Amino acid sequence: MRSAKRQKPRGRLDPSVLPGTHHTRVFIGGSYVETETPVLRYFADVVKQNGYEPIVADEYVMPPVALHDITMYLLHSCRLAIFEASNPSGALMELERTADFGTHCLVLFREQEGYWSQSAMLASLVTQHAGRILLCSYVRPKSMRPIIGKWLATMKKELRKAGYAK
Amino acid sequence: MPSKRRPARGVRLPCGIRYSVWYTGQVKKAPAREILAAIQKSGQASGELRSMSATQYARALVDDAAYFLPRKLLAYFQQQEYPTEFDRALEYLAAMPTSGVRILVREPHDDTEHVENKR
Repeated sequence: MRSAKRQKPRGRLDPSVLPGTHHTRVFIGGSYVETETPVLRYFADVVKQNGYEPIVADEYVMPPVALHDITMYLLHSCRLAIFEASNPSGALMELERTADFGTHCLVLFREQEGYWSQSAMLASLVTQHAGRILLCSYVRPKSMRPIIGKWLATMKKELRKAGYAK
Repeated sequence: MPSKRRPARGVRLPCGIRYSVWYTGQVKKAPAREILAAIQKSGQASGELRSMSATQYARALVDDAAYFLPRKLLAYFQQQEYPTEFDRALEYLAAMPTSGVRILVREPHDDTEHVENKR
């Protein structure tokens, strides 16, 4: 049964009322600095246009002391996740936890940006969880539209095979 | 009918800027177009980057700047004039926080292009 969004003051959403269902929600993770947020919003729009519900933690009301806990709760509420990993951020903590939650992940990073080309830790994590995590670099954000669409379509097939509705 | 003003014969025009850029652990010194082309063709570049021409890459950097630059910084850059769009693109790329490119020095670059009046 679908849940409705409920607006909190200042336009932030109530995390106790999430849209969609567990297998139709896609957590959108990344850095929320000013230079990264537009890309996250673009990816969220692409997810929405593909019939899924993007969950962007920054859109939900949460007291600063509970930021980690509520964000992990949001992540756990989603079967799928897309991470923008060009900039080191708390998203790495979230990515690490997806192993516990069984979340299927698409990890995107902007080419020539330095971090992925330097982090053997992250490359190792992706290799070990290759059945669950897909890694993709991009130059232009819009080039990720077909990649995201194709990945969501693949996830949909797997969900049907596993016996989920829709 | 107004006549076109032309520079006197033999006058040299400045042809742009030569940049000293820190990238992939080295300092490179070249005009903007050459630097962008070198970034594209580097060993780390993916298919998407290599498939672009230098012009396409420069245009992509400028068109996508709103995603990767702070709004006020982008507004400042958009008010500046640059010799070419390659110079603009390189400035944008170097200003992106997650870019590994940093501009160290900008030097006027005179290619000694002589202008001759046709008569």
